[in-house]
Amino acid sequence: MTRSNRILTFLFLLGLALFVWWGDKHSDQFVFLWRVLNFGAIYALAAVGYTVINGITGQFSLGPHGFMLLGGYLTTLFMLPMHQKKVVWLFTPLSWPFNQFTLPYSGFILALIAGGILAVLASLVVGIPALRALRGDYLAIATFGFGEILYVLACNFMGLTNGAMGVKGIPRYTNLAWSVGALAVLTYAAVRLKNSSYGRALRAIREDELAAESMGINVFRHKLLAFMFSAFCAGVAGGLMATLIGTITPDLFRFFMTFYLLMIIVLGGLGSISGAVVAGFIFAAIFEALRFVDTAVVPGMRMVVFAVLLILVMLFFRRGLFGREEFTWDWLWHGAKRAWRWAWAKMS
Amino acid sequence: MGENELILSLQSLTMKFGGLVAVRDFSMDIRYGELVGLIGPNGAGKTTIFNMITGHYPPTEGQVIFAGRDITGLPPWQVVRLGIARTFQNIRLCREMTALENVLISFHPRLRSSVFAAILPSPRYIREERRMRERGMELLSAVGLEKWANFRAGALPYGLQRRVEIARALATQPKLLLLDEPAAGMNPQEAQDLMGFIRHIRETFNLTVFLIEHVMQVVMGICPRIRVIDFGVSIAEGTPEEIRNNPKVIEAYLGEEALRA
Amino acid sequence: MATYLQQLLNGVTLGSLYALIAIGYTMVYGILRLINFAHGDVVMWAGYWVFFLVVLFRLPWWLGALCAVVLTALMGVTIERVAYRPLREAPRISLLITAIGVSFLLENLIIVLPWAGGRQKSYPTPGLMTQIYTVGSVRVQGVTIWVPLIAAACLLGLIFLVYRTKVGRAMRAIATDIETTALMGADINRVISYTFLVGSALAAVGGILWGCRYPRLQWDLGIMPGWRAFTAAVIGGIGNIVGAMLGGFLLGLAEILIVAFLPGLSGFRDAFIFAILIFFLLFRPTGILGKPMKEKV
Ligand SMILES: Nc1ncnc2c1ncn2[C@@H]1O[C@H](COP(=O)(O)OP(=O)(O)OP(=O)(O)O)[C@@H](O)[C@H]1O
Ligand SMILES: [Mg+2]
Repeated sequence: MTRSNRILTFLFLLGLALFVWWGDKHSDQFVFLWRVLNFGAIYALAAVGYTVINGITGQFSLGPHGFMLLGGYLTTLFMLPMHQKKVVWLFTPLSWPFNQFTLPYSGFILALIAGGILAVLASLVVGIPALRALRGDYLAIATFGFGEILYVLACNFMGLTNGAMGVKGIPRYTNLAWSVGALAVLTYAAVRLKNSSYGRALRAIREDELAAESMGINVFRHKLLAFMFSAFCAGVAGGLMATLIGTITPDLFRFFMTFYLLMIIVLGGLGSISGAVVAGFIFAAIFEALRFVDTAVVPGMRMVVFAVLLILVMLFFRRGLFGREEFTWDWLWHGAKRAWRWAWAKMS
Repeated sequence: MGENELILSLQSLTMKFGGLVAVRDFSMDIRYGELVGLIGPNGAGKTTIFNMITGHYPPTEGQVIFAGRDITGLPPWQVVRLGIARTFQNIRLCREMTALENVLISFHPRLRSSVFAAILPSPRYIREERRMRERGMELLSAVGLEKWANFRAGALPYGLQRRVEIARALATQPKLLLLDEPAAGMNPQEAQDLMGFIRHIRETFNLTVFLIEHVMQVVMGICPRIRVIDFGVSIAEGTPEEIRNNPKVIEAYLGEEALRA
Repeated sequence: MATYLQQLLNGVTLGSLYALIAIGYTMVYGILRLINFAHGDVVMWAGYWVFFLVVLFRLPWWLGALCAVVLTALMGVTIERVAYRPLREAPRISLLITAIGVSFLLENLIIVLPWAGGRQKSYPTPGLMTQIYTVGSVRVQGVTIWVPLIAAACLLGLIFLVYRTKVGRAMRAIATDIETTALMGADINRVISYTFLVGSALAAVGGILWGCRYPRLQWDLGIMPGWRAFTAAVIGGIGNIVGAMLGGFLLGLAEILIVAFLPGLSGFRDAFIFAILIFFLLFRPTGILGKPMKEKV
């Protein structure tokens, strides 16, 4: 990174911080936009993690909805006020230890991190056997199955989840500061990871697992590393989503959530972190913009559109927006120069 | 370690795939510093022997002893770390990565910084990364590839890809280098150059080299000792001169000529 | 005693439905190495075709069902032609992603379609299926008898097709080694189309009979039967046609027995299915019949 790029990055982050501060302050004037940006940041966050395992490491997981579910519920259990806990768990008592305490707003960050850590633990449960033995579509099916099992458990463990009825009245702590902040931190981590020696190992595994192993890479441990990272992102994203919407049900984190994330990383370019971020926001914008079609015109239309879009991208535009490349200032600089020259040539 | 001590000892290796016996009761000893050739017609089981040494196939029977230690059944990544590196018959580079990155992959197992240190990044990680790059460039220079360091490996011409693959193997700091038909797909002149190159790296890096070749003439020039297998069975061993005149070898290769014709 | 027999028959009925659906998964996997995510939704569509033709267009049931089989089979062929074929040379994961897209499309099309959408519909079940037969002390519904019989007929037909006809031979050849078969001049595309035709037709029979057994239609009705059938295919060794039938029957029986005798666990039924699936993928990926393979280096 050159000096001027550093300055640009600093200015960008400063601008972002100012925008977030301003946006949260005036959130009631731009309800729709504020909502889109929050959802966009949360989707982008989960997608960044997802592309680390699916795109960069090339290990096809279909389980992020399960990790989001875990993060969502744990954050909820930590943050739900005591009186609300009594109201929600009226018939089946809430299990220990969550019936004993609740965290104040200052503990929100702990709750989010705890959600991420729970997801990481779950990723070990499924990842240790599955990443060792399976790859390709078998790995996809095993992780998918794990997500479905979590869904069934969430529906049945009334004492922790209140079953299919879900939990209402979660304090809506998520705002742009939290969602964009978490996105920024974890995106930084993902980019660093990708460009580090560990990231080279992950990319080598995607390209030729056997060759990587023959160069001394412990393939299994590196896959697990990527999987844990993606689970952490998903867990935090789940927690943010629950505290953005204010309610949580097992149905919120069913397979369609993974389908959304898959759309996002495919659209952004499998393996591109910048692509995942950009496409996350684009997806949220389209998703919210088409909401009226779903509620006013034909329910389900939105999903038809997305499904067709996914198929079309796969058939005709497989490299997505970014391919495997990343956004860099140099890339922008070159692009701008080229555009400028082109415009100059047109004018004269 | 004395000159005559064994670096590798293969003891009655057998590999069965279902009903097919790809290698039967194969034994061989290699001393430190040797340059040994393994030849045989198509499908004789040469690559399978390498795969048993490197842990890609656990042998059905028999032992692999490396530097006095039984390494039979260890996974490939552990075998490499003990000091056996290999190249593949059908070059297996990470094609989307640069030549330098391919070499850097081999340094990764020796990285001391944790993944958190790499993400931050900590000063120690930054030092380590810089050091890795320097050493990667040194290694590429040693094999004459410094100009190509930042080219995508898949875009390089075939002969250079071979060299990148060898450089990548050298970066694991091996004591024993296994080369699987390095001259495949080259014309006689290129093959001769490659053999000179192999001799050169063997001296520079103080290696023991075990080399598979399909075309007899290529190894004759550089390997003082050659082993021949056919249909998974060892049929001859000796100097190039002895091999050339061995009736069994002639027959095995004639059989192949006949098949080709 | 009568309950046991009753449950056994229920298990066989369910098992034959799984077997019919599992064939499609296993044949496609055997040839394209693709887990056809959309297969369960093809099953669901078969039920809806019957609904459209019999309830909306007032065709006689048998004709409606027959047309439904044809339409569903064509649908399977079209899906392959449009969404899978262009990706045959692409990484297999691209194919899986597309299949997931197709699955969501099929499900949501049903929600969107004006005559089908939203609310649950009731399936037109012919009288034959609901009639009660009494044999001694055992009373059985028509479905319990007819479903296994029809399924058995279809499966026998399939075995004949695969092992005794030219197309079947080509299918098996492609499943073993697609490149060599192509070199030998077989028309790969045609054989793959046939595979989808046959697999989807059997899925259609499965879906139509499924409707007779559980007569309510909804967009998500194919998902779980699909996964159970897929599990059955894995149990039997994916790619193995006889194995898929065997797996289907085993799974159907096991499921009925668990639900009948351990009703407390029925809420966890789907979790069990996926646990079995994961267990097999991890520890017995080639199923109970298959033999292990080694990747060539
Ligand atoms: N994974 C495997 N599964 C089944 N058979 C195998 C496998 N690997 C190798 N074989 C068989 O073992 C035999 C020996 O193969 P091998 O690759 O060792 O021969 P080779 O001497 O290297 O031949 P070539 O000169 O063609 O490289 C061949 O018949 C091959 O088909
Ligand atoms: Mg070979």
